[in-house]
Amino acid sequence: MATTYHKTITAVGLIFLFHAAYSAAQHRSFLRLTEQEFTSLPVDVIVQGIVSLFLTMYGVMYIAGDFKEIRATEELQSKTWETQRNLPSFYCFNHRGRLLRSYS
Amino acid sequence: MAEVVRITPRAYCKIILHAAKYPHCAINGVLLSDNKRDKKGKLTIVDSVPMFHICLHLVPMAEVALTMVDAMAQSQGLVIAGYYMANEALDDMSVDKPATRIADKIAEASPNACLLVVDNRRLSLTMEDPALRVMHSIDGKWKEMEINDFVVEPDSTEAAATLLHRHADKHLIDFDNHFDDIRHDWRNLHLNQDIEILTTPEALVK
Amino acid sequence: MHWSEARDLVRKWREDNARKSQELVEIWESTLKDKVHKLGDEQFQVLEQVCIGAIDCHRIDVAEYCLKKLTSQFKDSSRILLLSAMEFEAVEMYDDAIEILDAMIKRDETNPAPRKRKIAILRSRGRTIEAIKALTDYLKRFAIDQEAWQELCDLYLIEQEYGKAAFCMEELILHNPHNHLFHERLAEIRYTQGGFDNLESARSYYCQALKLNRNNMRALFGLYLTAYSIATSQKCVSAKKKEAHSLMSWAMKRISQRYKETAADKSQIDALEGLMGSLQLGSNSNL
Repeated sequence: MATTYHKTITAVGLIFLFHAAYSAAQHRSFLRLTEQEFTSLPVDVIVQGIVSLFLTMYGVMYIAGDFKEIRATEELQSKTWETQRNLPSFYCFNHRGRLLRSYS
Repeated sequence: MAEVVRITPRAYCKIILHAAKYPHCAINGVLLSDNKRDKKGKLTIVDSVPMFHICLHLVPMAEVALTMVDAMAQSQGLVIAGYYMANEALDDMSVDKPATRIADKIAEASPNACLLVVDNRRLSLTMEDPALRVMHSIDGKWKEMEINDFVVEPDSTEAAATLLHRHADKHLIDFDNHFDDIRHDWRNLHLNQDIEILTTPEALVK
Repeated sequence: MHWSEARDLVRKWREDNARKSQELVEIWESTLKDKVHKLGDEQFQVLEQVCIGAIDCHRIDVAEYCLKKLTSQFKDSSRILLLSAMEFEAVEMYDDAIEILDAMIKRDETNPAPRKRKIAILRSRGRTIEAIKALTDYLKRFAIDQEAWQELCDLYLIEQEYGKAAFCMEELILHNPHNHLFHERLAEIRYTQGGFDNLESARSYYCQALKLNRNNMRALFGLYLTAYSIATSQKCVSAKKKEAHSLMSWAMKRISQRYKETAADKSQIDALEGLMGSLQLGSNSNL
């Protein structure tokens, strides 16, 4: 269940991710201005990018809801005829239920 | 009064609870007798075992259920002596071919076997009326008995009404429930106890 | 019960297609009715679900209330009109219901829902043969409607037309090859039809059901019975007999294991042994 905590984590993660991307862009334009060669991004930008990626992934996992089984048969293991036999579009109402209903 | 069939509270209540648990389904089950025939040939139905509410007439599960019930009955000195059913539609009291086939098979082993059909229209939460139609086999055909030929024991309908009010039908287990989860016991021992308590003399005095 | 728990339970019933109409109406009246505005967009699905549940247990007052709320939100909706037709059905005013449904069909020929309700009305009135005819006509137009195939299978089983029921089940298996229940049901139909070829077909469908779900008890028992019937059949060659025997022992081992796991008491185990011992009932030509 997504709580405010997880929504906050996701928001923070996304903000940091964008911030890391912005820093990287800033770094490259700085290098262009000072006519230096681009070798690699500064370590702190890389670290911030990776950490914020994992933060966002963690938060999104909770927001997105429960995982579904990848094997098609797993979900059906617990299915029984009790529910499978019910076809709402074809329900008939002409049964003894009307005589046995209780007023609780 | 040439009473031929007597139905005890335990058998009766379980039939009614089965019908109440699945009001929108056709249901069926078997009746057990204590095999003690008195001089007049009267049959006492002492218990009933709810069988199915889904796809009543496919053979494999019916065979398994009948065999298991037979084994249990024999261990308690009882025999399968009848078959009960209730149809899906409110006013439908017909008995279809698969039902008569099972009833015929039961009658082969138990000559005085009876076939009970629940009269849906006469069901209610207060159960003033037993709401049953009893049939027996004459020359291979199932014919309805006279109303005086069968009796539902006096405290049965009251016990059934009390159980309905308590929503005891939710706890009834039939063979379909058992096959879905074998932890569910189709012998309904707890329910038998409750019915016993409701029909003891002390309870009747209240 | 807290209203959010009630909402979750009702949502679960809606997704699983559970038919717990009496409980649904009780939960509605005790908990959800006053808090329905808190459900957001889900409230309309809940209102529809409660309306149908109320119709199912003949609580026309509750159904009317839900219908009024839905109509005020969605004027001139065919889905809501369908609910009012269902209300007429519940009080056995079938002609009025059919009038509404026919008007809906005329307005939109591609809407399957009113056609299905007409078939349900035929079934309610006990006209199974006509329902079958109408459903087969419906399936000519809407051939991928799985609910309809399943309903047709049920109707054929009521009429004991096992061959045609098997065909419907085969269609369902085509659409849902992973559903163990359909394989198991087809196997049961084949067993019921009887005959050596049908028994072999039943055996393979039971095996497939067990491949998909090892814990399907009906399939385990069914496989045991089918293997027994094949082994005792006169048409069975010795190689197949051997295979049948090994299937029987595998199935019974698995069944005994399952009963032991659930700590079944002596009487239940005795009943199981009764099944193993007395398979004279196993001749499917009788039943």
